[in-house]
Amino acid sequence: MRANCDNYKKYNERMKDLIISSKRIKKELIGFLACFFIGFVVNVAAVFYYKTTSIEIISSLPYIFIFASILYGIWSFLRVIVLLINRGISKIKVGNK
Amino acid sequence: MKQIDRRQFIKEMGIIGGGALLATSPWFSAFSERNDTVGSMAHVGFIGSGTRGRFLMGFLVKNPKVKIVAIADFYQPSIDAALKIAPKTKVYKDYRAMLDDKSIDAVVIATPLDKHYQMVMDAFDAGKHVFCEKSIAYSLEETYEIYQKYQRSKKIFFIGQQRLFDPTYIRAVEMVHSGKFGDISGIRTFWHRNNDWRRLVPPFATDEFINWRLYKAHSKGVMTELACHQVQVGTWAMREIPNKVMGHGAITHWKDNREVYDNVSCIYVFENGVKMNFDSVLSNKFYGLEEQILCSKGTIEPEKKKYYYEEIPPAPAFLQMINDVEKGMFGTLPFAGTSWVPETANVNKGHSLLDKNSERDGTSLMLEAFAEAVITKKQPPLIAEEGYYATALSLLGHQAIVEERTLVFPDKFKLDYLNHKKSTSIF
Repeated sequence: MRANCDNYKKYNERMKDLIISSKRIKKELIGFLACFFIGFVVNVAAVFYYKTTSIEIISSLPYIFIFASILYGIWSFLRVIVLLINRGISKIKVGNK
Repeated sequence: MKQIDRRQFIKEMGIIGGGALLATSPWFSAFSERNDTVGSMAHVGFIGSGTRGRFLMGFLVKNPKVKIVAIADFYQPSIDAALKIAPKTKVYKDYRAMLDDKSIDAVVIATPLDKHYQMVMDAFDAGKHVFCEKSIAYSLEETYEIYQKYQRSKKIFFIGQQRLFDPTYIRAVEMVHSGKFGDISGIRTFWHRNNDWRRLVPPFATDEFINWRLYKAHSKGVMTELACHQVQVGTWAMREIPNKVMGHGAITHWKDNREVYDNVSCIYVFENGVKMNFDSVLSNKFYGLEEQILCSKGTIEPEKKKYYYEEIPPAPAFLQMINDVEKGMFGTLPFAGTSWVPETANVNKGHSLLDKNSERDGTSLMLEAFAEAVITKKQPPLIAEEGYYATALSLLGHQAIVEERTLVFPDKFKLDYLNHKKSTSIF
């Protein structure tokens, strides 16, 4: 029983709580809104360029949402890559010391 | 079997309204506004109990206002099969004996084409109402004489043109007549199959008896068996009878000693130059059958239950831009493969003719209308005329094919109908 409690304690010490701060949520939301805004601007430009009806500024919102999600996903993927690269470089530097 | 009245039909089909229905399909007056023939009964005899006869019997036997009282046929296997559908029905080997039965109000004639004339004439002479399967008769002269007899008899006369009662076709023609699609520019009808049209011949029967459709003495082939349905749709949509017809026919595939063509093509020409085509090959079924009504602002395909506008809106600008950018970036790269972007080309998927597919077949409604007409003794308007011209045009088309020349619709066979005026010439 005591051994199990010790293992449980060690397991919990290794695994950290994932805390998403409100600051982070706000930052990501703003990021997504930025992607949505880019999509919206592209849509408006497209409506003028292809001379379609202006109702599409509203009716194409579902497409813009999908576009924004993909753009946000790509941006997040790139950030993860940069993060991993930076971590890798840090570990190499620590290892060299 | 659920009985129907006109109001109910309009509601079920989502057709524009009662006025529009009767303007397009005046024969629907057979169905009363209220179902006031409940409790009445039409006593019907069948002349011919083959495949088609039994098919019609299957509907009528379920109608509480119809009692099938007799069958006239001499082919025992057909009789036996018919008695399974309508047991306790009296059987006559000679239809004339059946016509003497005073209890019979009406007869349904479903026999080979060449037999129709005498049977219909005798039925009218016996004071019976008549439902005759299409085509009406073997020749223009016989068809015309039958029509004259019907008019003199003051009896009910229906011809087996079931598209007149098919909700999809009614809707299609109603939309055409409303002007929604502009003027009709052309009508393309085709009925293609890939089979030899033969039935198995039992040991005790002859090929000519079973496969009468393949013999000149009994049938005009695809023109009288198939074309008559489709040219009727064309004239119904155009509200006009074509003046001229030309055509060609041949036996190109089924060289099995048949006497009728397996490959025909006809062009009917209306007064204003619009053409109605009929094509039929019996050795390719890829395109099946259709009556394509080509109008200046749209196209209707009743068999597919669809209509299409000529001008369709382009894809949303946002998608067009994404597509153009993507094509610009990946268009020339060999590994690019299929675009992930939704197509921006104008793929015209069309619209459905009916909000919901009708469970009702034109045949069942047509037979219900016949029963109603027999009970009320009121001939619905124009149904005989539609049937007459469907037969007349298919026979004329066949004649044009055989004679290999353009034929003009003979004045002597014209009725007072649509753009035709009955000839009063004594010549």
